[in-house]
Amino acid sequence: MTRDPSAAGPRHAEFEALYQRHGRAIWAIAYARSMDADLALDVTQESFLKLWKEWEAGKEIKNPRAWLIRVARNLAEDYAKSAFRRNGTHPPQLMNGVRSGEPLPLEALERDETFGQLREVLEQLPVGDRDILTLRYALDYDAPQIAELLSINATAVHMRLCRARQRLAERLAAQGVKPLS
Amino acid sequence: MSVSPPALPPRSAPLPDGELEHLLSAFYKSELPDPFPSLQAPTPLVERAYPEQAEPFAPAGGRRAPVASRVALAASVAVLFGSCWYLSGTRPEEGPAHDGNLINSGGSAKRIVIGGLPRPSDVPAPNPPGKSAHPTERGR
Repeated sequence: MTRDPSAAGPRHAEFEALYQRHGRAIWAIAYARSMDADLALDVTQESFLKLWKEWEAGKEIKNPRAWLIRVARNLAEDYAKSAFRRNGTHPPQLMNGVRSGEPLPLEALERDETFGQLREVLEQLPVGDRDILTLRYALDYDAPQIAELLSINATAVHMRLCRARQRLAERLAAQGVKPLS
Repeated sequence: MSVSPPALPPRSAPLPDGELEHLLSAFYKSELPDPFPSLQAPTPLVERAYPEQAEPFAPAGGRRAPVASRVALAASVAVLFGSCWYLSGTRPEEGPAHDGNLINSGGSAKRIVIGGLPRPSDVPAPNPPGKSAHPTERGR
């Protein structure tokens, strides 16, 4: 069911506009920490609901995007810690890169295997590098956009992106990962 | 006859930049939820600020039901106080007829005083020092 935001009030419309504008970026921040798309989505929505509660409590947040990023980082790290306690180094569904028990066509199986290896290598990278990679490749952000979002300068983004790609290429080659057909 | 050393696991050449970009892009795009789900605020703030405009749990009878329930509550409280007053026996017309004798109102019978002081003969003698009244207290 969809509601008309303008009918529900300006705060409601502002909330939905904020989610439309920054939801994906918050997801990317959460995903870079958890490497789990579903969990990142939960964290994203929880962060926005926390923002709503702050508004309801009458608190004024000057920079909602920065506030959301901070909350999403904390939540994702908390989730990652609790998941580590429950499951060890990898959540069960990520083992071998296979995320579903359903039979898959051969090509999709190969692709999932490659993605599984890539995920393992990505997990070994620093979180800061994963932030940049996720924003660059999931959301197609360019260096200035990433720099603005993460409050770092664009040169640092370029350097870290270049270094992260180099590390990835080396590690993937060591694992014998082939390019996607 | 020469023995060849065991072959090392094949180490492929590093992926070219274009291939790596393609692989990363495909991986991250597959992870990003598509379509990205929408999120709506649980309850609009305006509904709480102005409850007259929107009452989500308003009964079908409109504003009559709250008035009826208040009248019923007032009537219940009135009945409660009336009962208390009636049962307390403080009605002014019955006061002088009662002389306080519960057994015989003729005045010849022995008068029982409830809650009065006990007579000296009814009070048990105090224990000597060092002795407890109850046998179990001596062992403590």
